[in-house]
Amino acid sequence: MPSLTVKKRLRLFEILAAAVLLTAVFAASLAPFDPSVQNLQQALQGPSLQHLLGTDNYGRDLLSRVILGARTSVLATLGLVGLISLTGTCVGACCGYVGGKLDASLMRVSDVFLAFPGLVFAIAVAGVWGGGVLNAVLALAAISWPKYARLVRGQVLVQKEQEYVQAAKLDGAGWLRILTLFILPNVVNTVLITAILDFGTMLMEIAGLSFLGLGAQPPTPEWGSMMSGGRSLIQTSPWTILAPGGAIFLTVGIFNLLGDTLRDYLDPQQKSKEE
Amino acid sequence: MLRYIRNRLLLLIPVLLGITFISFALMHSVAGDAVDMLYDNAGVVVAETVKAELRAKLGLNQPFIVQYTTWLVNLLRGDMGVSYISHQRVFEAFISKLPQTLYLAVASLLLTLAVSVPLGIVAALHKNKFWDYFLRVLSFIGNSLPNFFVALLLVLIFSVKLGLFAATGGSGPGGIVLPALTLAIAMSAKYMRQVRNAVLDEMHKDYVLAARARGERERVIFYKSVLKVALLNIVTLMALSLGSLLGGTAIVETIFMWDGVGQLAIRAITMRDYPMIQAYVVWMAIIYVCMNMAADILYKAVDPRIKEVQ
Repeated sequence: MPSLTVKKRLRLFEILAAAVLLTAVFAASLAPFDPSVQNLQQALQGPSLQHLLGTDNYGRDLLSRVILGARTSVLATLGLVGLISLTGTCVGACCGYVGGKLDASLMRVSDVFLAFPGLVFAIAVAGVWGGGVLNAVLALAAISWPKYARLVRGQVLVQKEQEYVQAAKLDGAGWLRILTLFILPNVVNTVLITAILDFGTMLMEIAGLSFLGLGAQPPTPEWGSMMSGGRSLIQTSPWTILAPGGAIFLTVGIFNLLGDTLRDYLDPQQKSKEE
Repeated sequence: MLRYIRNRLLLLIPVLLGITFISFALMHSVAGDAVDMLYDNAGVVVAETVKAELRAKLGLNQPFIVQYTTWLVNLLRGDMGVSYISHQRVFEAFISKLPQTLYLAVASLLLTLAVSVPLGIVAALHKNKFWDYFLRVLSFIGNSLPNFFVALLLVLIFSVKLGLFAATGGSGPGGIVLPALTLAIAMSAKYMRQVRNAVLDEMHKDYVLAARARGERERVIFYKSVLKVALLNIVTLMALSLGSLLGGTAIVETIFMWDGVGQLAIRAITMRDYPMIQAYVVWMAIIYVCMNMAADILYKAVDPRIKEVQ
């Protein structure tokens, strides 16, 4: 959308992202039907005025299940992204500012967690400790925080040599004060952009684990597990996978656009490189 | 260069130790030990004394660190124990399925190259014009679709509606098309943008300006210099992807019944076959770090401008 200014685009995507989050929070009151009530006479009906997205093989209203699914999918992702960005920032800030042995050892630890590719570690954790949203979130968190730690560490290393930090030191400020009041505000934008851009990826990974049966467990409505349930119905009732799939696509798309626009807004230099 | 390779190999050792340690600790943390598991799976109830005897025989009474060391030594010899379910040796089972997964990963990587390089160049040459915007939208869509949704959409379009490919099974010659396409779509969406940006970056370098000033034809500059450098970057980037691709195949393998290590692992999970899961996680991580290292070395070998960072 080149015709809209960055600021207007940012506002638009902020509103859309807020709408997704609010849907997730108030899912229970927004859903037109009870998402767990089965009505076999209404099973596998296509989209209609009564059931806008159709019904599943138990006759449950898919729109309601998609809305309720947002609660699990979106809120779990929010928790995951919050967890890894906070942990990563704390570890990275300490490593970058303190340096020395603490830095070296924590960075080696992060190397190890970075070494597990994609879903492999999450699959192993789910396989050993059992499925469930919490285990999925923890497993993905274990391999994702190092990215933030490295990002923040690098930024802190640069910032700590700046004159304003020297000035604060001369002023008698302690390390915690310098780090939290002076350095971190300069790092927080980068973390925020990365976190928003990661939101989509993380949502897809959690949904992927649920799709494999390792995340959210039925009958809890969750987008990934709903799609897994619709797999065998793909020939006759494709809406059972299109409804939750569309919800994932929209949510991931909105957060990707929000992240891109926020980067353009906060870091115009990056944009000029892109264009 | 040799020194760089040596240093890189030395850095690998603590990471490999860490990977094996975490994988071992993860399995060790499960409540109920391997002996209980063995008998539970066999459906036999035995006296505690029998279990204790077997535990002593298997070395399960020894301290954690001793068990880890024994396990690590066995791992290096290619012995990762026996499956609880099939009683097959897990390392052999893993190795026998690995070629299928590698085949799928390499096929989708080649497909990605074939799609993203030409499209990326088109986008760069039509910068901020219709084709650039059009491809940007496509790339956005590809980036926002999870691979299991892409897989199901492909099944819906190509198997259900058009009847072109079988929805499952890697048996026929067309069996690889849909799984490879699924993996390639997400990667192409990403790499198309990277090819575009790499080409544009390169076109703004001073040497291009100098070549233009000398009166070289645009086409010659583009194909002889710009493209060569840009592609080199992309190929090394893609070498990095091969590792994560191997890890990401689990979902696609499950959907298309592709007989690779991912499906092996998912099956092992449903049957609580811990040695099999352990083999999967350890070896996937080892393969991944080794590939990353190879990509780094390759990158350094082809591009001498990258300075040795000590």
